[in-house]
Amino acid sequence: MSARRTLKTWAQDHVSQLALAPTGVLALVFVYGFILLTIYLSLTDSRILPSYNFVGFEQWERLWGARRWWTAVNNLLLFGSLFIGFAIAIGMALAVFLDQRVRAEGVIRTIYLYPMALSFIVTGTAWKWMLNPDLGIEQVFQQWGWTSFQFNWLVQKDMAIYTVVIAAVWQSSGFVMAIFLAALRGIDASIMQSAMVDGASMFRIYRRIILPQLRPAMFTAFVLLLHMAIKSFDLVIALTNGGPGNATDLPATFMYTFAFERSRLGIAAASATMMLFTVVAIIVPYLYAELRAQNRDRRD
Amino acid sequence: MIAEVVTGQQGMLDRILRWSIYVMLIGFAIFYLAPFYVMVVTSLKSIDEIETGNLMALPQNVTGYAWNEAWNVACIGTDCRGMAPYLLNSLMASLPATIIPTLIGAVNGYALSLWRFRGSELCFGLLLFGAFIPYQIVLLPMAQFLGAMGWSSSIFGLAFVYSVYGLPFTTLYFRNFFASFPEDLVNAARVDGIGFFRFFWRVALPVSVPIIVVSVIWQFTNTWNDFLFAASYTDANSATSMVALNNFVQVATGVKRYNVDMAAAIITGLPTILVYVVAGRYLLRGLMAGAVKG
Amino acid sequence: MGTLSIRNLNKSFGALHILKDISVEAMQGEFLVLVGPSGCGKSTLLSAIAGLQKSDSGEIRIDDRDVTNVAPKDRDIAMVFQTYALYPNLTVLENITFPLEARGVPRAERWKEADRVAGILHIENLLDRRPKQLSGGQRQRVAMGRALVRNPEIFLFDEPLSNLDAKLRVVMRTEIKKLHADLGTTMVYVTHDQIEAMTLATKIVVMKDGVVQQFGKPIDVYERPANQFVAGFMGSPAMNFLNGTMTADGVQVERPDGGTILVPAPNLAEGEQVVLGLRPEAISDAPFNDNGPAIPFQWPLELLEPTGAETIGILASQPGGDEIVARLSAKPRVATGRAVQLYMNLSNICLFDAQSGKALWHSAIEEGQP
Repeated sequence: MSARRTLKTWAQDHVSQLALAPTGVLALVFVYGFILLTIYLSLTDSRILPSYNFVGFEQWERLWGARRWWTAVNNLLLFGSLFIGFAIAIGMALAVFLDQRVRAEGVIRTIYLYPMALSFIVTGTAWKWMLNPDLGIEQVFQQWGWTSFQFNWLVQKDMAIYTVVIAAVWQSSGFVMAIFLAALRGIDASIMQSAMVDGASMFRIYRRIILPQLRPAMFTAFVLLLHMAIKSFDLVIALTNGGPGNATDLPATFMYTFAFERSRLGIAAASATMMLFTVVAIIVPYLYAELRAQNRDRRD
Repeated sequence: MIAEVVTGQQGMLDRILRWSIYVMLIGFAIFYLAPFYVMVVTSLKSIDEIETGNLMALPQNVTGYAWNEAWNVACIGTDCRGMAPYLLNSLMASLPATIIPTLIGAVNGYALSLWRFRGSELCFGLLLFGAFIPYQIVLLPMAQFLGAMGWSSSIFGLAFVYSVYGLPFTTLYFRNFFASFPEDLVNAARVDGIGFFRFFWRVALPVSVPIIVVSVIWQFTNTWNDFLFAASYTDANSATSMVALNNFVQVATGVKRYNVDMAAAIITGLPTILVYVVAGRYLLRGLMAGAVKG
Repeated sequence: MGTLSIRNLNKSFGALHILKDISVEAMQGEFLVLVGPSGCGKSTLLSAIAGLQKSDSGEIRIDDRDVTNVAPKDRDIAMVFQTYALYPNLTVLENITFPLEARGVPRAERWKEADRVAGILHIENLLDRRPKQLSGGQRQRVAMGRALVRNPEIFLFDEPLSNLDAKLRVVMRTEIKKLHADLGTTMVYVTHDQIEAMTLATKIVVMKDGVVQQFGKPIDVYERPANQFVAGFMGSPAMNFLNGTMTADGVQVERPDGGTILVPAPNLAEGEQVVLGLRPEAISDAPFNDNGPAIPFQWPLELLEPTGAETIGILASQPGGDEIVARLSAKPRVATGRAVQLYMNLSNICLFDAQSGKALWHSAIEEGQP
């Protein structure tokens, strides 16, 4: 067998691997390689330009010593828990209501879901206009007769983060509704029927039978929303631009500001690494569990 | 008789319950529609009417002023050409970043699902990780890379970035799609001597139209809506519509022209809304496949 | 020409040993049926023959060529799958000619071949349909057409009839048998249905837990099962097993009502516990017409199930034993609920070791021997 022939049969036997190779290389360089580079960058004295001068954990100490970073972390905790809590509560409630064989379900679903198609920049722009204290919702209610009505969270240092929550929930709760609706539709209808025949009330059926079965969907929604919260960047930029002051900074905006506006690449890299680690801590066990579950399904 | 009375009562309760469900559903429908309504009416009002009128009120004198301003005249930075050129930039970045990752993702998903090999699951897991990273972690090295390649501030560079980081998603979609493909079909192909690519073009790709639609919608909306990469890697000439919109809204000097802001926002958001209204069902299905099934 | 030889084949999935030292041979033109309960490894063995699964050790030879490490497409085999595995977006014609297309056969020749195959399988009028528009039986034919068009040395069938309804299954079974008679090509066929195995095979491989239990002609497997598993698996209703004790005059079998009957058999080991295997058709309510050896005996009858052509009689079981089934005449003149007079055909009985289940003796002589 000539060398050329051997090569050809080898290629034929490994065509699947060969087809995946380009993507593999891209992932290796642009995901894993770049992650390592960023981590390395966080250990250098990079400022306006990347430098490869190793300084250990100096930047990390700076990051952890920065008041602004902790503001961002606190905001993320506050924003994240409220955003996830409301999005799941609203999403689940809407899914249960929509699952009651209501009329015009398709139209309603479309209305609930369209915000998902919008970019956070557009969403932020719209909400910024609606929430502005001079001409926005505050004025609407005042003109409608409720003259003492006050709604100026957008410009209040300690309230502005809640406007981000409102806009984010508006944008994402429809999507959560869709996740739960899909899960509800996947539940065997005969379970419900037999429970009804047994004389259980609707409320009871939902509490005892249906909602417990939504646990995987809840888990999925939780992971995705948490992931969205950690990545949240555009919405803050468009809605508050991190302000007033830096009252609505999140790690994502912190990183961006330090990288491109304040030219502190080292600190930016350290903060990006912190974000990655947070995501990894949440996502990797989730992916692992999912892949294992899938493999088990396939074998059965 | 008794039975009738009982069902009568239950019917009453049932009706009240159903009415409250409808009230809730419609209430939330208003909540979701309100911002869009406000955007549209604001964009059709004059500045005077905005300043004296009510946010929720319909425009008394409908004017296309704001739309004309937003499309043709609005200044982004010192450049006063309206939003139109930036929409074109967005399109030029999004189109290749939609088509190329969809094609490559199709081959990847096909290989990972139907032509498995030792370690193919691990490969998939490693690739999938790329879908979940916060992009801040690659932001700085990618900037260096684009600089080194001479692709800084270019639409091409942006399309490249979108393509690379779109691959994990498109691969995920196609892999999950092909996972439900009958295994015997591939076995038949192997016995019959039908090769990897021949089977892909003749059988696998033609039957995967539904997931192609999903992948296309996903990539298009995500690249169109991206702000982080676009803000980081473009300049005044290559800015996408998202960057332009943000600059335009943030950096306005003098009197705030909310009507023009809203017109610009609608123009920027319209392509993805259209895509969603036309093919939203598929997008949803795809998100389900990707999200719920992992 | 179309021979198949498998030697000492082993395959494990993790800790699961699926195929244990399998050795099977098939001559040119043989119809080899692999049969066994689900999970016995028959499908894995077929996959190994096809090359879809790599074996861990052992050797597979087709036409005396070692193909153990040869790709499926280069083994000169064609396969029909349980799910038919038709390419959903291609027409019947394209489905059938796709393997030829992949081999670079010119279009005119491909069409000619498709015509030939369609003629054999009576699917000429379906050629421009798509699989979705076909019935189960038609899909089955197309799947066979796609295999036929290749003119392979060996055809492999993986439970091809199990997705069809009962009636169609019988029709297609006959067609496959005819096809084999016409083509004379070696076929390897996997099924869990012992009737399919009996009707189609020239040689049967009975498998259980990854081990070949018996390999032989259908009639031998039926009449001279190698062990109690094979005896119980082949045949429907299944063979009856009666516990007995070996004596100098034969096997002494205890009746449910306390009495005993003596079944003449060679005295293999006096005093040993044995299991007497008795096919339902070896028990009758009338003396057997062929002058073979038979003995009358008394046994309590519990139930009669007339099927028209015959009546299935359910006899009382031995203490702790299984139900005993007899094939009685269409209108038996016996009453249920008490002991009745029955006859036992001695030309078709087996003895098994009560411990190991291994066959000790068969009254039937091997096919082809005097």
